[in-house]
Amino acid sequence: MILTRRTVLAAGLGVLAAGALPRMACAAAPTSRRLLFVIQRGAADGLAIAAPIGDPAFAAARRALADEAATGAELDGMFTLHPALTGAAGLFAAREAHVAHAVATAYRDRSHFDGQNMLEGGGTRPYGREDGWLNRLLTLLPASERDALAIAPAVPLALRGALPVGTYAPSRLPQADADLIARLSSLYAKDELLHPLWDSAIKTRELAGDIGGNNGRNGAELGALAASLMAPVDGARVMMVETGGWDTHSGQRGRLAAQLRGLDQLVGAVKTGLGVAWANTLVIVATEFGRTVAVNGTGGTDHGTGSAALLFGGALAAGGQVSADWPGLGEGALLDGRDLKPTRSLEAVIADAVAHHYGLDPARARKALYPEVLA
Amino acid sequence: MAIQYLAANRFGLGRRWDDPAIHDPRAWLLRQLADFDPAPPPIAALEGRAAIATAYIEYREDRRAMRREAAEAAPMSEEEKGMDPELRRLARSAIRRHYVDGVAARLTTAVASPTPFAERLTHFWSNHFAVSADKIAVIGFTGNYEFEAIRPHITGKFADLLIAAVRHPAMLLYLDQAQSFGPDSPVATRIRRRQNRPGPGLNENLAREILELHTLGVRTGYTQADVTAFAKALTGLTVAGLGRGAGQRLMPAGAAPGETVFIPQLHQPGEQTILGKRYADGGAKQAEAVLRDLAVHPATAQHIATKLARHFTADDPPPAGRAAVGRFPEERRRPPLALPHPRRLARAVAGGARDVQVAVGLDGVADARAQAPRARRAAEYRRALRSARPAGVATGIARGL
Repeated sequence: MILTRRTVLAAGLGVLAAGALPRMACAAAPTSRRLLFVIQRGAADGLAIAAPIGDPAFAAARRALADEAATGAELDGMFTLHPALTGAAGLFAAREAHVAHAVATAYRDRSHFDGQNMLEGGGTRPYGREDGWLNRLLTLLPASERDALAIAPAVPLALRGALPVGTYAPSRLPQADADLIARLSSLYAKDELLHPLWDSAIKTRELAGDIGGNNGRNGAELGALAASLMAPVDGARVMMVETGGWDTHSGQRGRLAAQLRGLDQLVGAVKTGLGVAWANTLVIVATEFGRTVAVNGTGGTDHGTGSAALLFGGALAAGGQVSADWPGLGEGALLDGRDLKPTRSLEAVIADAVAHHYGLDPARARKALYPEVLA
Repeated sequence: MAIQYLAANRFGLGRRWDDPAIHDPRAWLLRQLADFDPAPPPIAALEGRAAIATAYIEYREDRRAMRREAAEAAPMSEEEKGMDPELRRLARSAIRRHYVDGVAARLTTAVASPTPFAERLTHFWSNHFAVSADKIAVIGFTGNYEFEAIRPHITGKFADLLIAAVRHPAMLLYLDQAQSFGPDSPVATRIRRRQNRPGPGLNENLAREILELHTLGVRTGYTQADVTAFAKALTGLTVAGLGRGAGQRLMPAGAAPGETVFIPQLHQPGEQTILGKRYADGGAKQAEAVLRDLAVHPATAQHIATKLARHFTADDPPPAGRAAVGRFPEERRRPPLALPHPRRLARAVAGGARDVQVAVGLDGVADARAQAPRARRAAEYRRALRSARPAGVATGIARGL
């Protein structure tokens, strides 16, 4: 994708400020940029991930969870990172992490299924789209950067759409032996439909190597698996992994710490696994909605609205910063008297990050990824 | 001829080689509902809730002892922090045994079942009222949940099935109801006052999922206020023997571990307004009254009828199929109706309601052929074929006809 002089001028100073202009030069040539989308299914608690300890209402609303937040790495005068996110704190200090707070998609209700559908589809109503923003992104990329893969048993909505994508799900079953693979290969060799499918499945399997044996349970292993699928010259360039277990209605303290430790290791393993390619990699971590500002009666939090999204990578526009138009946690400031009020569109955060990463005109990226929401 | 095979696949679990031929699919389905055995020998032989609860309690005690001994915690599952892996495996094995035994009994029963249509309905309802074995407290109960909350009710009324599923320990533990206290309940108030700290309180997880997943369905007009009020009405329901602290000291005498109990001192006092209707505080009766109303709400009928039609026909079931499954001839004068009572479903599916025959599967195609005038028959036939998936099956059956 080449930015023309006109689109740059049309996008105005925003583009310059975001640092897209210097990237134009290399945008013409095929580069090795990589994108990983980590979806947090179950509504991750943004107020625990990046805690606004500088907000005067925070401690009272979060009670014991607020004490825990005070022990995390300081991001700026307002926010601390959850203490389990030690690796992420290091990345933040190195300007390789960014927190976008008080964000939400266009969804304003509290159903996981509808919320995830809108996060992935990127439309204005649940089940309003049959394709996802990641697939729409592919249409903006040169053919060499369109290889997309999800570590999932079926193609998640975010990756569904006009352009072909693959999935890979590690199996717990014993691996088939080489003889069986060879026999199947010869069986399918002359089949027009099955041969290419089989061929690409075998290729994927080889890329995954040994790491695929353990069902990707642990964050570090999942991250290493994702990196092993993205790192090779002919590997995936756009990737999506799914994480669950964020629905912390009760006993949040321990459960969320374990989740975030897994996420921290996932991101760390991706960076390690990609090596030098990390410099041209963007990782987006996002969830369907946030959780209530107040702790509920069982040491957890219930379904809310605003949350936080995390960006990681070697070439972020605003690494080492928290961006937020902070609405405050005072009683009058909450949405419906209970939730963090979203003041920024998560869709815009994602589209702008992607535009910066690929050197795309932000207006064009917004329109292509979210034609209804950001029209 | 092929219709018989289709019936075995679409409504049953496939044909065994020694199954007698199905001459009359409609009668075959209806007979199964009459013959269904909720507790065949493999299931009847399993241990009950008290043994399952005891396994969990022992596991928890072991875990606590090990934690005391372990100096520093290795960062693993937060619940199992500090446990030696080998000891953890041993401690869990008793709980897992209940799970594995349950899975085996379920499979054995399904394979040997003379009533595979009823087994399919059991699996459908277990899926509809899903619980997850992700939480350690739930693992042991998952088999018992299907056997004691679902199976006995699949040929009964939906309201009874709903109440049994909601009240089972597996559901109360999975969706956090077991530890949800009324914010103004006597116990929460006392803790707040005595210890000068925020007491235990509400958890709205179960209330929301009942409305969204089990009854009305998402986007049917209920509000956050309805969820909160319903969560308050549900307080007091918990499981004996499993919790700690205030709740456990109030357990009724003689309540066996793993038994569902209602503790008035945990219940939020007062009237609740849900979906515009006021429910007086009648203790456990309050939530039950809400559940009974939800069970016969038109949105519930629409939601579940669609799921049933989808399960037995196509991902995108034809509207006629949905409407007819949710609205049965004998119920037309009794609004707001509409429970897909399994017997009625079977009758509708198998030919009791004419418009369902076409919509709900190719079984109906034969009936449509027999009953409808020629021109209409052809149109309905084509419509049914278009709606039936997968296409390969539909085509095969069409050739057979």
